[in-house]
Amino acid sequence: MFSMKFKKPGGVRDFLPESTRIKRDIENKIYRIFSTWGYQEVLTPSFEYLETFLMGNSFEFGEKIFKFFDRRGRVLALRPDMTTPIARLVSNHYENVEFPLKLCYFSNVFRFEDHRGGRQNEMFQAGAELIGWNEIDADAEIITLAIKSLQEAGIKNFKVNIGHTGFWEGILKSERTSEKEKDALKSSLLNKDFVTLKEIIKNLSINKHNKALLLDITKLHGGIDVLNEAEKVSENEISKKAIRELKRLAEILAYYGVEEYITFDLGLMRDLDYYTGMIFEGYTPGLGHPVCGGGRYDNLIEKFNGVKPATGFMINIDGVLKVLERIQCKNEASKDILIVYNENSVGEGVEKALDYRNRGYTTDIISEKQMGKLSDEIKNIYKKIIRV
Amino acid sequence: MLTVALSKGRILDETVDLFERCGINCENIRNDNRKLIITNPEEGMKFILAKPFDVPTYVEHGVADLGVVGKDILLEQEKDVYELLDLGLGYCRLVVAGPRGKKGYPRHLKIATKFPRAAEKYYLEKGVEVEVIKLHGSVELAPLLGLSDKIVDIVSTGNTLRQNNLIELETISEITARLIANRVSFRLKGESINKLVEILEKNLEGNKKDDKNN
Repeated sequence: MFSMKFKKPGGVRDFLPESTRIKRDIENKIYRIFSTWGYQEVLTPSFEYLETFLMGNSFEFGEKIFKFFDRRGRVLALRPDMTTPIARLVSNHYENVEFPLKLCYFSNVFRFEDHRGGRQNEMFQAGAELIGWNEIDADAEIITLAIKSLQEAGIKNFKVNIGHTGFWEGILKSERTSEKEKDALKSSLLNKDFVTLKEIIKNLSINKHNKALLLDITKLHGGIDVLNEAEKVSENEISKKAIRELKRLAEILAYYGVEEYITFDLGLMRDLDYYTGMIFEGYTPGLGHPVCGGGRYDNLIEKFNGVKPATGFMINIDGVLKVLERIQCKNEASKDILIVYNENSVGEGVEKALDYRNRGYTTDIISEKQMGKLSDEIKNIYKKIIRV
Repeated sequence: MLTVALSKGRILDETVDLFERCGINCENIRNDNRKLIITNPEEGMKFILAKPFDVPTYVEHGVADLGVVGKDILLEQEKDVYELLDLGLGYCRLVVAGPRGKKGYPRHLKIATKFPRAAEKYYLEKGVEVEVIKLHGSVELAPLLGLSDKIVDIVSTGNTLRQNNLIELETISEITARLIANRVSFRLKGESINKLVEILEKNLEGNKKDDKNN
């Protein structure tokens, strides 16, 4: 039997140098984009009170959260996402500051997932939040920023799907459906369980037009024509407003020159409950789940007593890493210089090593004795070996 | 290219029949049963033959774009996959069964099953507390030997139950095979997936009409 020393809990992993280097590289590139777009990095605690995380999310979401107690028996939890702590941070610290406020983060988050199904319980995310700007223009900035970040990180082939919570909420609100029916509809739409969806819709007492619309909502997927089509069939004001917003969004995204990455998808749903407007998800071939996602969440900060509209997104760093590792699986030479010293030349060796390091070269230093133990494979990592 | 994970066993033949009726050539699936990956370049399709319980896993991770799997397994696993279509194949029911003559719930109910999550969920919604015992097969043994009070299992003809003096008490759900999709493939390969769904839908509707006419 293995000793406990070698065991790790399920759903967490070690990052060895090869992966860590690529991960750091991805984050550096994304950070550069974030900061040139004016986003400032923040950190929040790894754990907070459980209530904080339940704010704005469904009760069931609580089951996915890692919890423990503090000394006075209060329930603490590891953060399951970063948007909620940032909403809390904004209402704590930014009461009288001029908006918009632009924040970004690079953090790990924790969720109980079925790790035997190959999912991780600790996930790395990078994200940006644009707070205090309620126009669709802000959403356009966020979507473009997501696209630019993915490009910069090295993901070439991807699509961003954009939807709007207002479209289907408008349909539901225009009818007298019960909360229970609404929840059932939402969950079958979210899981794209079309079989159940059809059954629920059949039994709903809503008008024929809306029935057909809900049944076909997932077919409203494609380019800008989809918005024109949706505009024609929308009868209620909330849905119409959602479509008007998306049309304006498409206009601005064209100015940013990112149309080729965009598709509209009015059946899109996100699995967090706090979204109140535009929502989006990014997909790339070879990754079974979204590589990025986000949307507008105008009520979340309000729940913490701040009154601010906000929009934002996160990039799934583990996902980007997985895609890139497949492309650049070979460990490229990553060190510049190896200095080898003998019994009499330690001083000279150290001096040289410091000098090279000061000049920005990646430098290792080693004694002649140790050098004898090195394999050729390791020696080949260095561009230059200097004996002193 | 669409990669489709098919469930080996009970529903494989019916699935292949359906696909062939839709004009998709599946001959090589029937012929070489030992092969696990069968590529069909003319149709732009690749088939994976997997254990039914693993089909949702392949699809969730996106190594297969689509899958054909029984609703019983979807109920049990709650995977993050899209359920596109009821294929109407492999009809059976997920039921509660128990020994003849016993009625009502004892205070501490023990349930043996291959589907622990589905069983727990069913009783939770009824507001009945149960202890679930997970078995891997021949679940009918459990009440006969006194390991459990009842079982939750799949029933098609009911023969196995009858032979072991068990009777069907409650139906939890009707089970048929479903077409499932990976959530990313559903967007990135939407066009070819929708085409396939439409062909299947037409064929299934045609079949229903035939049934009525007969």
